[in-house]
Amino acid sequence: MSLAAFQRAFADLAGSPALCLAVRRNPAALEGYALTERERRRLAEAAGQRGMDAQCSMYRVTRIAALNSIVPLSLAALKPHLRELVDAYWARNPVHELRFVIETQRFLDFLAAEPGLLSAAAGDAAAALLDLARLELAMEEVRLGTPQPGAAPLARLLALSHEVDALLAAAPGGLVALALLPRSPNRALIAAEAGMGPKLYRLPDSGKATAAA
Amino acid sequence: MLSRDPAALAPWLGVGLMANLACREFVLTPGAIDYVAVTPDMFWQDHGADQDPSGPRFEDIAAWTDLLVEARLPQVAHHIGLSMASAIPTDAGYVAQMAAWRRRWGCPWLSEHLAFVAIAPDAGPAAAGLALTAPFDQEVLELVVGRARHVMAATGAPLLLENSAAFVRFDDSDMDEAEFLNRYCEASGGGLLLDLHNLYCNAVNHGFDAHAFLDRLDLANVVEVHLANGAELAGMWADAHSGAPPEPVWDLLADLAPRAPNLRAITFEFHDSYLPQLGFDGIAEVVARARAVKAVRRP
Repeated sequence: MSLAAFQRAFADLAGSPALCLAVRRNPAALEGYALTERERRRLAEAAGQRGMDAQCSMYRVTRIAALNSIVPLSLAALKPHLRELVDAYWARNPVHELRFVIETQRFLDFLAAEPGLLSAAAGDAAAALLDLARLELAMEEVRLGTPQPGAAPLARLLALSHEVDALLAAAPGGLVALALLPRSPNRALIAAEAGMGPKLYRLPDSGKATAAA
Repeated sequence: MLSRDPAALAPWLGVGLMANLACREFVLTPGAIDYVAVTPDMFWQDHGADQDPSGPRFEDIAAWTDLLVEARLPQVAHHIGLSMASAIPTDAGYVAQMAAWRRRWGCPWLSEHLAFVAIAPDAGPAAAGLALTAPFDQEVLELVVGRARHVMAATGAPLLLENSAAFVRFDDSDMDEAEFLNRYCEASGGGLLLDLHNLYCNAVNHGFDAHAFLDRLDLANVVEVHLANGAELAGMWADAHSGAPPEPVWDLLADLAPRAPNLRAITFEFHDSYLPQLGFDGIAEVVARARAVKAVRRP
């Protein structure tokens, strides 16, 4: 399993500028990996190459791009604080999930489980931000799963703490606009029929659903 | 003596485009391109090997597969999920899906990158976060050859190995990249997808002559070429798929084409976010220029 350990260590270096710096200072930082002497020497040398800086940058671009493909409005709102948030998330989840929807769900679960971290970044907009991200994720899940002709419609039901139209209208205004939204518990239905993209409906407490803006 | 043809039964395709939805209108224009190159992983949802066995692991993304149905063009499959150089076991379900996709669309060959993504066998389709390059060692060669033979047997199609752009070099590798690629083809029976922009990246970043690299490569193994452009990233030149190929990449194609007797396809790849700058006219110019370089058709 030495090659597997080498590849894991190489991937960890790409994902962690801090580990690269530690290895540059002292190759013993690789001691946690079951490496041969040749592999240890190689990785210590690689950590010092200028290409490793580019590799670390590419890692960040790739992992952020995965999240951005699913929840772009939420990430745009978080932009001033995104670096701290993704650093904390990646430290907890160094292995990337290739299924972007699941990767995004994991990121949102992480934010929800770290209210202090999210509040430090998003302030009073934290709850609205999470609602917006859940809404975007559900829209993408339904879009990806748009049924084939003849298949049953696909739908997702979301319980949110902010009104759907208000969330979408406030999103371009970033955290400042999201923080001003009043709490208004409500539900949203996202549904897709064969050959059609997802549609978003507001569900009042009673009565007929209406299409959201 | 006649050179080996790694895709002897495959048709000569011409000049094609890496398909994405942004260029749908262009792809559907009759005569605009000769074939589509497709990254199948973007056309399906992979629910993972840990998916509930009562449901399918792979499902079409209808908006994407509809493009292929409408285009009615020959297709080559360019995969990103096999993780050719990975030290962990091959994902058997993924290989079965490669075979199914190949049968469904009649792809004359398949391709994958000389890189590894999968690093954690116990965590589903988990990955390093980006495609990473491995040293050009005998151990890695044997691993890649074994995986390629398995895939070719399972799919019934030639597997082309694509050279990768590498930010980091391992100068004490058992062999250099050209020798590695030559030996891959010899040992596996597969061929090469030569990404000329990746070659250009490596030449710029690591200071070698890309044309001399071509001299060391057995060019009879080259079946497909990729053209692309890039961008600066942290002091290195990165394969960003950011528009029309730069002149040095065209120079490499002009050098390669007359010496690659089995070259059947030239694929232009660009990221859809660059379409506003490139435009359909820009794509058409790249296609026309590639068509003019060498007739990628049966001699």
